[in-house]
Amino acid sequence: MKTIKTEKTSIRKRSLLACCLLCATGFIGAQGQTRDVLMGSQATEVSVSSISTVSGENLQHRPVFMLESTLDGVLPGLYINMSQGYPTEQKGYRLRGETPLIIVDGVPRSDANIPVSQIESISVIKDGLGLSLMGMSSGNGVVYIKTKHGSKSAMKIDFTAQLAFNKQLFRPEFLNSYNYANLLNEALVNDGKMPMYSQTDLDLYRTGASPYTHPNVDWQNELMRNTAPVQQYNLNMSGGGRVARYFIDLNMYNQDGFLKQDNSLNSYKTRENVKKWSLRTNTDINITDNTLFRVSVFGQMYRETTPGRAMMGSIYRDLYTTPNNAYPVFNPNGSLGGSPRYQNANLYGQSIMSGYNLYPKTDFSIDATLEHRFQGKLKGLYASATYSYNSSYREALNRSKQFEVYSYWKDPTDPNATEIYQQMTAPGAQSNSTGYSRLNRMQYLQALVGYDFNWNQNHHFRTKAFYSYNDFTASVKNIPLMKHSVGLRAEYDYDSRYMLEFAMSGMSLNTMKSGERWGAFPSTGAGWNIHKEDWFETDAINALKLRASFGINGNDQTAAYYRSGVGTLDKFYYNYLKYYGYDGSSVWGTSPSKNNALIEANMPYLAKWEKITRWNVGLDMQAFNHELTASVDFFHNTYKDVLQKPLGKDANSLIGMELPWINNGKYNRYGVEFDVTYNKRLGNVFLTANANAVLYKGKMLENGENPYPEAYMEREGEKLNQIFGYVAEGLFQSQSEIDDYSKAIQIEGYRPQPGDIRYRDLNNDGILDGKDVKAIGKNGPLVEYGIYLGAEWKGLALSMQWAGLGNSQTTSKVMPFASNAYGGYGQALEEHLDRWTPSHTDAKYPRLSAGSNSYNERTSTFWLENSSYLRLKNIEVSYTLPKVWTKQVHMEGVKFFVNGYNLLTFSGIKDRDPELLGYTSGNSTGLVPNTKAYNFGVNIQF
Amino acid sequence: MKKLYIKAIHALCVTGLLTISACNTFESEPLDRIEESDVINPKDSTAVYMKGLHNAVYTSLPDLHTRLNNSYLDAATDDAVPTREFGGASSLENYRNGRLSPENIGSLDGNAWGRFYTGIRRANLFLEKIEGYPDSKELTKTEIAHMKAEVHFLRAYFYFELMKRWGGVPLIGDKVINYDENWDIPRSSLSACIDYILNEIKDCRENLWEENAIPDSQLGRITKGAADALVSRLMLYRASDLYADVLTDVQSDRKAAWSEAAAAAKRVMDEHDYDLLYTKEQTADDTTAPTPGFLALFGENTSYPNKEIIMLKASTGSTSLESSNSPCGYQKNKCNGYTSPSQNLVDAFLMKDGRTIEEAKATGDYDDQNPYANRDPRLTYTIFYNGSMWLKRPVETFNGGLDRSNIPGLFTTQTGYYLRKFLGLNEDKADNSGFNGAYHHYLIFRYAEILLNYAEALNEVVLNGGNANVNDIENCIIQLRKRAGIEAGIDGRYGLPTYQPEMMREIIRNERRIELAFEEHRFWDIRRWKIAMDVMNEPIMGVEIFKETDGTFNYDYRGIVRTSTFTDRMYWYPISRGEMQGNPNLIQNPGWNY
Repeated sequence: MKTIKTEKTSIRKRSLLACCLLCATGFIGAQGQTRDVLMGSQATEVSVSSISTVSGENLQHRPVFMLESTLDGVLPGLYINMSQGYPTEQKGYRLRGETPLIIVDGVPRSDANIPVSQIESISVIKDGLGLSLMGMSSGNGVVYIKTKHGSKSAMKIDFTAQLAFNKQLFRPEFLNSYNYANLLNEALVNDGKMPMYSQTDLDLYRTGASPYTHPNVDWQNELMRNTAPVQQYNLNMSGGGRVARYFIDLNMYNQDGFLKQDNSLNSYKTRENVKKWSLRTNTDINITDNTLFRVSVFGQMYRETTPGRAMMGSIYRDLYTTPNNAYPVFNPNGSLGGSPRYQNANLYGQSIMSGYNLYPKTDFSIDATLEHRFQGKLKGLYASATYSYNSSYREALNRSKQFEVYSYWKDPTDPNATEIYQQMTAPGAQSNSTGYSRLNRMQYLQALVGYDFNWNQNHHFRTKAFYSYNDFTASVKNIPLMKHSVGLRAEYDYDSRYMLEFAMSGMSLNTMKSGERWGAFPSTGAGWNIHKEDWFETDAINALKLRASFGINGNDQTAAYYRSGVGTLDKFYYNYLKYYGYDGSSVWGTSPSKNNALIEANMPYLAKWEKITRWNVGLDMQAFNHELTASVDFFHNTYKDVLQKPLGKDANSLIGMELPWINNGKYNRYGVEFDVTYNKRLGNVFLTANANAVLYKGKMLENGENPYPEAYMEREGEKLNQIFGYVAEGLFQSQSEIDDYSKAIQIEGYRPQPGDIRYRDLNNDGILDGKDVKAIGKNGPLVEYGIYLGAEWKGLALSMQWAGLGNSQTTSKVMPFASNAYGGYGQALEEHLDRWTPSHTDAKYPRLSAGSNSYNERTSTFWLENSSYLRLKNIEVSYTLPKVWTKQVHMEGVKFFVNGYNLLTFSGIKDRDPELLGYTSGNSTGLVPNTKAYNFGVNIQF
Repeated sequence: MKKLYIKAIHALCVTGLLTISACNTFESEPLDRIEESDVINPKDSTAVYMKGLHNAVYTSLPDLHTRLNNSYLDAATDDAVPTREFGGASSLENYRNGRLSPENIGSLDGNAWGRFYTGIRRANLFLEKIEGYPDSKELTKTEIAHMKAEVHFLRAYFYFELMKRWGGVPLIGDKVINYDENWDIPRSSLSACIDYILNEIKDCRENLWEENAIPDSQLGRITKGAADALVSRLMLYRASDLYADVLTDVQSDRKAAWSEAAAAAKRVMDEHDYDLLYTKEQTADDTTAPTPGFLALFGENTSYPNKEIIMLKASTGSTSLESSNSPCGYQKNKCNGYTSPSQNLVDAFLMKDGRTIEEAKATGDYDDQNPYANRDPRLTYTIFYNGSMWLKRPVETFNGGLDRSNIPGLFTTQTGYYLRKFLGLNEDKADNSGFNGAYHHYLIFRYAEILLNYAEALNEVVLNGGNANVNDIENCIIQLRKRAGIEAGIDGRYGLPTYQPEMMREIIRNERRIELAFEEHRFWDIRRWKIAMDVMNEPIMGVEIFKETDGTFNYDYRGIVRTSTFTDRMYWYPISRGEMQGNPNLIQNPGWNY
């Protein structure tokens, strides 16, 4: 153990170079190096699983709130889905295509948003053998976070201060009122309706002569500032002696939002803001030389504030769907503007005059482990026990109030007309209510016994067996999820040359039916360190390992459930029991009153865990004096008994109620993963480069679909998540083109006009209908990749982290005038000017429609876009003052750094963020843009 | 050292015990849910779950108000257009603009297919669970019999709702289907569906409530009268042209079919004590005139219950409908006026003397520049026109008026009219003091319809070469006109011309249109009469009203609000593409594709 620790200390000193070495998958470690696996660690040299690791040092200095936002492009196989830019919103982890379970220090956790400064390393476990011990929760892979511990040394103090300036990426550009009114009129006329705006209106919009009755409000400009700061401070101390070692980390994060505020109106802040304080104390105490007691205490507090009206999602929704001409910010008399349609919507009021909401959140966890290594005759035997308690509570304190809104009208064509003010919403008193929006607890208990022994010098055996128990409560109402698990792992190697490993676990989940709760999850693997063979004599290659593993894993969907931490694990929650619920009522009586209606809440079905068969074959290599490290992994995962509603049966509503989720889906996913690192020293210059990528693809094997009328409509056998749609042949350019088309083809349910999309009649039956839908997306594999480049010269360092997505397509689109939450025509974008008109035929958008045109909006190749991208996630320049200087003032080191986050994006999509793609999600939420930032900081070590 | 081990072992044991005891904190299976055993528990003296299952069947009855993007199904006919319309799959315009298709039918009309098959499952579920359930004080034998009969009726009614949309539909029988069974049930023929409905009603009728025996607190449950009314409507539909095209037995003897329809209506009239809701006599104590019966029926809570209502989906009452439908200018422009009735419908309303406006024009009694004077009072009760009184001020639907303002961004009437029917009585209430609400019950069957059914069927008997007493036909119409407030005239015929069967057909159809406007009749009537091809392909007209400087109004009737397309296949709904894909045994209706 101790040798490892010294190794790690030195790693931290030689940060840049060594950290990147750790990036490599199946890295063939030097003698004695270990890596984290489930239920303990393993000597890297003999490990045969597919695990990749990154050091926490590599993730530093990003001005982001969520831990996962630092992981883009860093680990092979791990993609972070940044489809929501609001800081406290969870981003999606995607590990070889699935949502992984998050484990911190050996314990599965909910919502593990740990400051990077507390993280030693993050690993991803991807193969069937490596995942086996997680039993029925192993199905989606594991992200394993290991926190820092102190080591035997004098006290080290490390202080970092950072200040970043955030800017929003790809803010939408909306039409001004004149263009908006013009285009809406055009759309209405296209649809055979009366135009909405008269020439007088249009003139007033153009001239801006009557800004109160004919406003043109650039809401983003009005409400939002361009730059918002993020401050981060971190102080940690570590060190200790033979008996006790400690690591203490204090972290403070403060991200201010983009809304403007007016301090003269309120004595409090209205702008959205999130603060976080985090404290971790990890203590290791040697009770005896061979008995180690470790205690970790972690506490974290958020204070998130938003304007009183609502969560930011609805402010962004209104920001993105309110036309510029909807209402003025203020009326001539200074009251807030509104209209009968926007009675209660004034965005200025919503963001500045609606009071505030406070969401305090507290995370707490305490972990204790007692570990003993037996000596003497029992040498090699060890035992440990772990207990962990985690709790998270998010309160919602509502101090919102209603602002007063007036509509204003004065006939702008008549200077003598009277002004009409009408109160749309009356002011209201501040409310004062509390509640909670997240409340969960998790307990974990583990007992483990291991025995490592050698036989005849060259035969090495390592065995361990464990029992674990875990319960999780996500709301006060439900019975907690309780999992019992037993497992064992046996490893054998001959001279570290031939490796064989076997692991198996059994797990039960209390919410499944008694007697049907236990599942067994076996796995095995083998490896061959080829370079250890006597005949292997290639100087260029320092190490070469071939490994293969196979395992049967299970998925009870707890990964995503633990993560979100809300609601019920509904697909597994006692749903084998039939139950009933009240829904709706019938009304009877001379003075009518309601009688509650009782309905079936479910069709009972005993859902079992999904079964995943994972094959993984990998090759690791080191060459040219360890300068080049490379790994390649081939994997093939088959997902069986996938819970789904069979497509065919589910569509037939004669049954009269919703179907249960049934274990009868099947799909697979396979691909190849690369991880190549090159380190070079040229005199005083250290160079590092890493490239990692996963290329994968899935296939839908069974989804319960009924036969389709045309073979090309079948989803089974197609690529997983394939896009199905119509094949577009451009736009109808003229009535005569439509007439020609209509001679041969009749369009079901639509009469096209020039500027509409022309679709192909795939089956040549003379009718354009649902039978003309086929797979239109690319068939190639999805590529998720990252590139790291670094250089260091005499304290001056430059590094870059890129992340990208390749072969990705989308049919996501933003249509103009879509009906908004206030029952009116919504907003339209500058890019909608590029619509088809008789004089502009080569257009990006078809002819305009007022509201929704379900014909043009069909999923089709017309909307298919390449959503691949490459983004510069982080670029950093740093300078470490020469030691000779800092020693003078008794400092170990002083480092100044500047970095940029998300500074560059190369993408096939011009006007939108390729990671976000839209501006709203349905009619309820606006998507907050992702940010880019310039970050300045200093790091001082004592 | 050893001590330490022992202590450690102790500690482990204690933790282990704690964990084990923690397991017992919770029940082994959740007890907070209502389980099967609770529902069928014969010892449950309150029988509350059984009653709950029964209530659930009622919830699947159709709604009327604001169910279709805040408008009415009749806004998909020549009677009205929706005021706001943003396109998309659920837009009512799809019925008019030729975009109806298997793709969007599932989003139109409240997903009727899914809704009614859900109701049918709930009915079957109740019937399954009540079987063998013991009677008790709370749930007497008679009550169980009533409940079962109601559920049988409701199930039959759901099939009727399906049938009038799609023709023959799959008949599920009594089975509560489970997911592991096969429910790819093919469609039954239209005639099999009709037989099924009629048989079900025949069987359950005996155990339904008598109208006068139903307790006050239970009013709204199905009665014998409802059963007879459903048969009346069903027999009327069955005898109509659209159904005769499909039903060979009807086709071969139309006269018999119409006679049966007439008999079915007559049964409701004879065997029950229904009547129209007339205006109350003004007594000496009354300071104001009583509300006219037609208006009171929909808008006056004190007029409920009454003898006109045969079956309803009751509602607890609110004022939301008032703000949804009042002309846009009321309550500081906050009202929405979601439905815009057409000029076509306005012109269908009679003169106060019972003549049509065409007839009145000929004698110079109708002035299209003063078009709402001396009209059938039902016009005022049904439609807001320029000058109608509402919240103490006249409705202003002239251009630039309060209810058709020029303020950009407001959605105001498309036609110059708003919908008045169904609203509470607010004529004399001050604006901005809130509305007088009303119950807003959906009157699924009311006596006026029965009179119209009878008149129509009897007249068709004559038209098909049969005999009928002309007085019986005319009497129905006269009753309705009398209640409406039409003048009797010196001949006492309420404007009816001398009987002539062809002309009487048009009179009855027109009477049905105006009497039952917006009650989801017109939509189905133009289909079963097979006149949709004509009336739906006529443009929908509106009026533009200009206020002159002297305060008079100039009415311009040239404005076409919508043009429509109605093709032959639209007489029956298409089956939704999803259902077609989900059930390989379904056969699509003629003219519709995948």
